[in-house]
Amino acid sequence: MPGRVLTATRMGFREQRRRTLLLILLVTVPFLFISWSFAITEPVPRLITLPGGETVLTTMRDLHGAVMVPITVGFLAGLVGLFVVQSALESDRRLVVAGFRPIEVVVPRLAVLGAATVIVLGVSLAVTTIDFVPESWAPFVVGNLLVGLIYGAIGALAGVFLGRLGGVYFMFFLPMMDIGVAQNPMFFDGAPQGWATVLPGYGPTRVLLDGAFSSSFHAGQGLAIALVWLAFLSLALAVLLQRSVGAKR
Amino acid sequence: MKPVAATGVDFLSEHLRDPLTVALLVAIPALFVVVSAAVLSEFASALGGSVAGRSASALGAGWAAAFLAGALGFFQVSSSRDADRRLALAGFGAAKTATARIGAALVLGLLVSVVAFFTLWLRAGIAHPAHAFVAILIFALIYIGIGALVGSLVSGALEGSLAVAFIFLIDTFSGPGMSAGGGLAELMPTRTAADVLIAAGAGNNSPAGDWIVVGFTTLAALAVAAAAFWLAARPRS
Repeated sequence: MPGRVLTATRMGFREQRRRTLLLILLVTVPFLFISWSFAITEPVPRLITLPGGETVLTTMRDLHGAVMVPITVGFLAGLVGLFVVQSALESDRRLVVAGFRPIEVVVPRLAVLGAATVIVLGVSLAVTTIDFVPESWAPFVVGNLLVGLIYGAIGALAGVFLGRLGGVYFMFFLPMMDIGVAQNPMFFDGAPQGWATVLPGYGPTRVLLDGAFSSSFHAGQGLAIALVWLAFLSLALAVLLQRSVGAKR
Repeated sequence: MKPVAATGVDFLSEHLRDPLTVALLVAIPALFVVVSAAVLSEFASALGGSVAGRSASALGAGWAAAFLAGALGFFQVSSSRDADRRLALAGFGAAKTATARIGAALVLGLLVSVVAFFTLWLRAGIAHPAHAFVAILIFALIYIGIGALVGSLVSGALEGSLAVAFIFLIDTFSGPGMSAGGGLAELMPTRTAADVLIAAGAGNNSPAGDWIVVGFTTLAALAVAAAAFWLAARPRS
C-alpha cells in the first residue's frame, strides 16, 4: 500500500478518535438496544422456519434479542457509511486536487467504515452473549458481519445519491423495515414473506438465524445471496466514490 | 411579519429543493404505516403490551411522523447554525431567524403528519379521525422539539442522528400498549400522546386530563425548539 494511503488512513482513524461522543455512542447504543430488547420481551413460545425448512420452537425473547443484533449493526453501519461518505465528498476532493488518486482517498474512508462496523459488531455480539448463546457461532457472526458491510455500503450510497438529510431519513427507515420487520421471524408465519426476499437483508439474516437456532448449516443459498449483494454494492460504491471525489479535478 | 414569513418560506424551499428528499418525506411515512400496521399487534404482544388492531396501526402512524420530525428538527439546528448566525448578524436578528425556522419546521411536521394520517385512513380506517390527526401531529411536534434540543447540544451530524434514533426507540418501545408501563416508561415524551392516539384508533374519546398533558408537552417541545433555534442563530460576542 503506498505511503500516502497509509497516511490518509491514519489521519482518517485519528479524526474518528477525536470524536469521543461518537465512540461512546458506537459502544453504548448496541449495548442498550440489545440488552433492552431482551429485558422487555416476554418469553412467549414461537415456532419459526429456518433455512432448509427445519422448524424450531423458540421464544419471542430469544428471537428479539438475536434479531436486534443485525438491526443494530445494520442501522449503525448504515449511518456511519452515510456520514463517512459525506465527509469524503466534502473534503477528499481537495486531496485529489492536491495530487492523490481517487482510489487513494476512497480506501482510507472504507477502512474507517469497516473498522466502525467491526466495533459495533463486536460490542453487539458481546452484549448478546449475556442473554443468548447462538447454536452455531460462525454463521451468526458471518451473517451479522454481512449485514454490517451491506448496510454500510447502502448508507454510503445513500450519502452519494440522497445527501445528508435524505440519507438519514432513508437509513432510519430501511434497516428497521428490512431486518426489523420483513426478515424478522417474530412476525408473519415465522419465515420471510415473498416480498422480503428481494431486500438486501434477506441473505445475511437467513445465515445468522440459521446460526442462532441450528447447530448445522443450511443457509448456503442465503450466504450466496448476501455475497452477491455485497459484491454488487461494493462495486457500485467504489465506482461512484471514485467518480465523485475525482469529479472536480 | 412579512420578512419572517418570506424567510420561513425560503427555509422550507431549501429543505424541499431536492425532489428526492420530498419523495422520501412522502414515501417513508406511507410505507412505514402500511408495513407496521401488519406487525405492531404481534410486536406489542411480545413486549407484554396490549395494543392491537386499529389502535396498533394508529400508533405506527404516530411513530412514522415522530422519527422523521426528529431528524428534521435536528438538522434544522445542526446544519443551519452558521448560515442562521450570519443571517442574524446581517440585521435580521436571532428571534426572527428562530421564528422563521420554527415556522418551516412546523410546516414540514404537518406534511409528514398529513401523509401518515391519510395512509392510516386508507390502510386501516380510523374510528376517530380528528383526534387521530391531532395526536399524530403532536408526535411530530414533540419530536421537532427533541431533534432541535439534540441539535443544540450535539454538533456532529452522525452523533446527533444516533442520539435522536436512540431516544426514539427507547420512547416507542416503552410506550403505552407496547410495554407493561410503570417506572421510567411513564416519563417518556410521547407517553400521553400515544394514549390519545390509541384511544382515537379504537374510536374512543380521551379524558380531558390527557389532552391537557399533551397540550403542555407540545407547548414545552415547541418552546425548547424555539430556544434551540434562537441559541443557534444568536451571534456570539
